[in-house]
Amino acid sequence: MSFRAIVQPLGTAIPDAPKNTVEYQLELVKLIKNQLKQVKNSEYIGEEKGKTIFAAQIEHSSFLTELQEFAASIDETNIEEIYKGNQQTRFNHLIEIRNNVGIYLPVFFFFPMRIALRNDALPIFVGSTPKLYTELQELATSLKPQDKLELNITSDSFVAAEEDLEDYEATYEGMQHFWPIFSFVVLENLVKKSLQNKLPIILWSL
Amino acid sequence: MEFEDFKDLPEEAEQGTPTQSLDQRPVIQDLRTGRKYPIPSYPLFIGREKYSSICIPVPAISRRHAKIFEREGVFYIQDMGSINGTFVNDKRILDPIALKEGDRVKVGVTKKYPKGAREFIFKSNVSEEERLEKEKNEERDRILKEVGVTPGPAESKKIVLRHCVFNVAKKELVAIFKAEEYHRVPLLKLDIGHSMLSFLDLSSFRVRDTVTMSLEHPRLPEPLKITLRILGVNPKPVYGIIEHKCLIIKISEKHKAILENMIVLSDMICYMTSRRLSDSIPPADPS
Repeated sequence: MSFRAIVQPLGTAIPDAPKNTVEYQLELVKLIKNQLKQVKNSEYIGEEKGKTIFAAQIEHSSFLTELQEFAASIDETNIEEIYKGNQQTRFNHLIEIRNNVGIYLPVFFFFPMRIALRNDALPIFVGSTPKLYTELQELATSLKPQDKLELNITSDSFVAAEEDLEDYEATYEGMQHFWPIFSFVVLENLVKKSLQNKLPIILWSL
Repeated sequence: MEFEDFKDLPEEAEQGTPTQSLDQRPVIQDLRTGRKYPIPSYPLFIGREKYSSICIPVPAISRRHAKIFEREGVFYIQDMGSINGTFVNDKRILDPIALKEGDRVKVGVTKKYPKGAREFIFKSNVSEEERLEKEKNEERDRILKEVGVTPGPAESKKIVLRHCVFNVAKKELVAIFKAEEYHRVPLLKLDIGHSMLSFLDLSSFRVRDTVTMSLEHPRLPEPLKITLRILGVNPKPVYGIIEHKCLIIKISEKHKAILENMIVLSDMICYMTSRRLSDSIPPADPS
């Protein structure tokens, strides 16, 4: 299974997505705006059309899971209990996104939202990139990813096929928390691009 | 225990296997990431295939590499005919082998990965002390059940305050006719002794406003309602966040008793500090 993420306006079609997805996206923009009003934040959410600023493709089925589990362990919580609602976490925008599918908006709000489209069974996770960035900053103090990992990230993309992941694993063999650090570096890059360009991050799995 | 044929190997949970929560199950821990995988009552597969319970997207690992399963309370590991092998304590295994506490399992040993593409350690997850304690509790529960007594709320585990959800709504006269519109807020402090509370919000209540706070948790019998008076508002430097300092002006005796008996009021971890918020604006992109 492959993890995909793009930083682009919500009004632009998602690569490889069916044509009718754009209608869903526009419907989603409306619902997100309504929801943002309720949390008293009606800022710009980057819904106009425009080009993709950054794209990431990683052939790893549980790309975020190991970073999420690391964050949960720092917070002395359990992911399953968080999903059941029995526990709350400081890292809610990082942990509460499930199956690597969701949207992060470049506006601040405290708690992630879940937005259900009319015909969709599962609500879509909507998080905040500024809040996610604060969570990553908090995690960085424990994970200490600086200078540990050099990934081949260009200004507009990061692609890691199975062979690349194998090479990274071999290069950094023996590194403690390799996968959480790997996910951290990629996610931090996405978040910075999102905040600098005031554009959402769209994440999904194929 | 020996298996003469692969057909003998269980694919589903054995009948009569006691059901346990995953917290109590033995685990296989990835030594590199530190991640623990509880072994369920049904077989756990290790492989490159995306549906594997432990998916390792590395060519050195076969699509279906190995599986771990339980039979009669013993946990076994079996190689599924992988190319680069499964090793228990550095010995390549060909037949299913019982796992013991602390056994090291390596999968996919190649020239590139002389120590194995992944190394795991098997942990039964239950110390002897915990096992005895559990047996003692089970015996006590059995006796209580026999005599028709069920443990009351005082014996149930306490809820930690930071795992509760806090919603606020402005208390207005119109609320008599219309349901109050609650929205979720992060709690900063709760000092029942001094009747003080503070929370963050993106919208500002005014000083002297009366606000109702609802404290919720799935294990609470009902949401606890606390009436607050806003004493002061303190805007934070970023994202329009406002800290509200409040005085607790009303909480019913029943809710106060629940709060004191069922919730651990200490151990509060703030959702974010102002220092973190100041750090939360990334530097501009040089490009």
